[in-house]
Amino acid sequence: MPPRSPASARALLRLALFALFTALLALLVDAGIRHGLRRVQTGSFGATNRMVAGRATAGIVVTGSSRALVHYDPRVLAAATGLPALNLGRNGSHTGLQLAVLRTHLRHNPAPNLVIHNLDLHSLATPAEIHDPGQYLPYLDEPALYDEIRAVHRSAWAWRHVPLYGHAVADPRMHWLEGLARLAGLERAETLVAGFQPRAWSWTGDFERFATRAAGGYEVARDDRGRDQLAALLRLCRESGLPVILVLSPEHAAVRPLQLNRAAILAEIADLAASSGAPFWDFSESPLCLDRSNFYNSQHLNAAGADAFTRELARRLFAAGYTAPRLNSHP
Amino acid sequence: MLFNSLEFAVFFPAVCAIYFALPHARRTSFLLLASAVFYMAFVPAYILVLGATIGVDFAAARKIETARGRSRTAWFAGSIVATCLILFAFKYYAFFTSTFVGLAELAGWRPSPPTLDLILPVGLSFHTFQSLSYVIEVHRGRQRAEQDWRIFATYVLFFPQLVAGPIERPQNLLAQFRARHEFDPALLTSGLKRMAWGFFKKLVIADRLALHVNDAYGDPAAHSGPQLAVATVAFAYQIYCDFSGYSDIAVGAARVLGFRLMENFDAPYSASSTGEFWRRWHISLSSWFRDYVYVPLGGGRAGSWRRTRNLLLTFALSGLWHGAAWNFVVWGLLNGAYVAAGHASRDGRDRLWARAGLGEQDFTRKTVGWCTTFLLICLSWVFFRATSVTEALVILSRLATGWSELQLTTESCGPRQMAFGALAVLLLESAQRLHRHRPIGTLLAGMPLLPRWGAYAGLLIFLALAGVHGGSRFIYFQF
Repeated sequence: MPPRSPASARALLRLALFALFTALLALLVDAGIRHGLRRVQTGSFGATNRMVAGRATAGIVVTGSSRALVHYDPRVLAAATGLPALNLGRNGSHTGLQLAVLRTHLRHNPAPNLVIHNLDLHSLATPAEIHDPGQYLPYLDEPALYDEIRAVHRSAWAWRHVPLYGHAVADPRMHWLEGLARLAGLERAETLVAGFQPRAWSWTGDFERFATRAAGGYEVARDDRGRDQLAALLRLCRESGLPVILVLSPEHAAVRPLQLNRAAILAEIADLAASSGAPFWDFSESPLCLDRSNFYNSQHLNAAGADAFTRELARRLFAAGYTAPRLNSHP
Repeated sequence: MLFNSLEFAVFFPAVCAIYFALPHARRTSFLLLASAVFYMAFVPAYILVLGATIGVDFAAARKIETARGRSRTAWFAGSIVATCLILFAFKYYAFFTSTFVGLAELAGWRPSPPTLDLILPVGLSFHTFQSLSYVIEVHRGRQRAEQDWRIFATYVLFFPQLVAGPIERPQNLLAQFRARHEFDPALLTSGLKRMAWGFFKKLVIADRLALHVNDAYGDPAAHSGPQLAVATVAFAYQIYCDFSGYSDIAVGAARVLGFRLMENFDAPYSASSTGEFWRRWHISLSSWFRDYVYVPLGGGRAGSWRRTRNLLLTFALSGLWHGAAWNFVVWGLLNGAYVAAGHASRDGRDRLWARAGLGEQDFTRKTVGWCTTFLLICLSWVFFRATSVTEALVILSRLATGWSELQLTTESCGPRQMAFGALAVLLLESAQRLHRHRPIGTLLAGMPLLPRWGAYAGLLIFLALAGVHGGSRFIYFQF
């Protein structure tokens, strides 16, 4: 059996020592990246860091995906209702992950007076993979986030426990650079306003290309787990005594004829809302939806569109009595 | 089994440990077994295809060596035809029948030839060419026919270079299976370093650039001229780093086991003419075509027209070797035309340069040559990467559009990814340039232990963090 000479044995020993040295360095770098990311103060990491540090107190929280992130201006909501508002929207997240973000928020912060949960036609679907999982890597010790990510990616345990593995395989956007930059004292300029990301973009033309490919229409995905997650979110709010409103924020009108099962999905959501006693506000018939200048693609309002929509929503909140005096008196 | 997979991370150390633990007499059989396991990890049944090639060429070479006259020629021709038939059935049958049907339909005839619906075995073109080179060398009398089938089978199946080369010659590799390979710590570390460099090229550069390339070439109509231009340059480096990365890993893995494989690349993008580029790119295939196609056709010996014809024919065949589609043929012809035009215009260009007072080693002259070569090669990559000639022409026509907005990034490749890819390419070119003057290994070897280990460990960690670990296949596996 090798090694057959002392020189070979020494070489193998050196290789083993080098492997150990590399592993120790990897541990150190992993801890450094995590430490850096947990101290980022701007952008999505900054928002999540404030949330898990219990510094995200708000009377109104908005949950949802990128449509929540770019549609709801907390300043407008706060001005209309008298309650500080916070946007918890996460880019590319599905309902299960949006629920996990809400649970994490509630774990570390006082319960809000109102939850506005933004919907889209994909709210009843579970994706095959998490979008940009790198944004969640420093927070895998949060039970709700970890459980949901693990439910989609079975290997998430390795992301959590094997040093650097998560950043190696699940961080294609290289968020680790941001962690190292933070260690060096560098910080990106803030792009969020109370979690809201206004995007002053013009129409990209993506929708026309999509519409050409899907000229005959398409079936929007849905599955039972996705439906259960939305039901779980409503149940969590009900059991926590949190008023919740389900809001389908504007989509460009041209997308509606392409969604062949649109009516069935909206009916299913309406059923869920009704069974939990939550209002379901559908803004997909809003006049905003007819004007392409409010959008940068069929699903996302630009900054001007988001401002107009949030004002429309704020008026409706005010009219429905969702204001500080009433919400503060809610048990 | 992919080099960039967890399976290989277990397989390779295990094979090395067992290989050196075994007595010399059993090592070749073990390597054959390990290589078969490696290959069967892709599609197990296709080991039979490889077995057929090995069986035919092993038996034919022995007959070729002993036979004389027409019998010898018959064995040689039979072996070549049989080996090529396998390649034809799996790789070219559908291409030629669809081309035939297309031509027949132009003449108003609607034939319906049978379809085979075969999936191309991984690396078929590589091991077919390696096996062919053995038979040709035996026929030319430059190589003795191998009498031990296990050694010949291992020569064709040797796992480090089985699926994407380098396409070895029997004179270099066959004898190495008879030699005794002792465990050598120097070869171990040098082989591992070479493998790490290959992984860096593949995971950090090629697979990251692929994000941009796949976006732009996946939907050319949705991308502007600047995006397609960036994607084309990115593809030039993607395919180089993907393929030369594979070769580095192959050379490094073989070196750990004590084998020496031929070098397949020599900084091809530093070439200042297309002819030089082809002497630096995929050297094992270029030299294969040179020795077995171009030179037998007459090479450049019988005048410039013959040379042009031979170059075009050789490069067209090289294109067809890469893929059974017209865009690969056009890619080959384009490169053949470059090289032929380079030969034809050499005297005139030399006179022009001399009139301008610029010698062969002048910086300006070399820079012009380098830029021209790079642009021409990039232009030809459009045909290689596109899925058809029509799509390539669409891409070329779109290259001139959309420059007023200068949108360079794509959906999957944002500014951070792009900057990182560009930096990685710069690092690669700098490292190659530095390495030519003084091997980087010797620079590091002069450092004290702790900083040296820190540098190596840091590079490995960087590889882990900056690589794209999606388990993507090497581009050349499809050939």
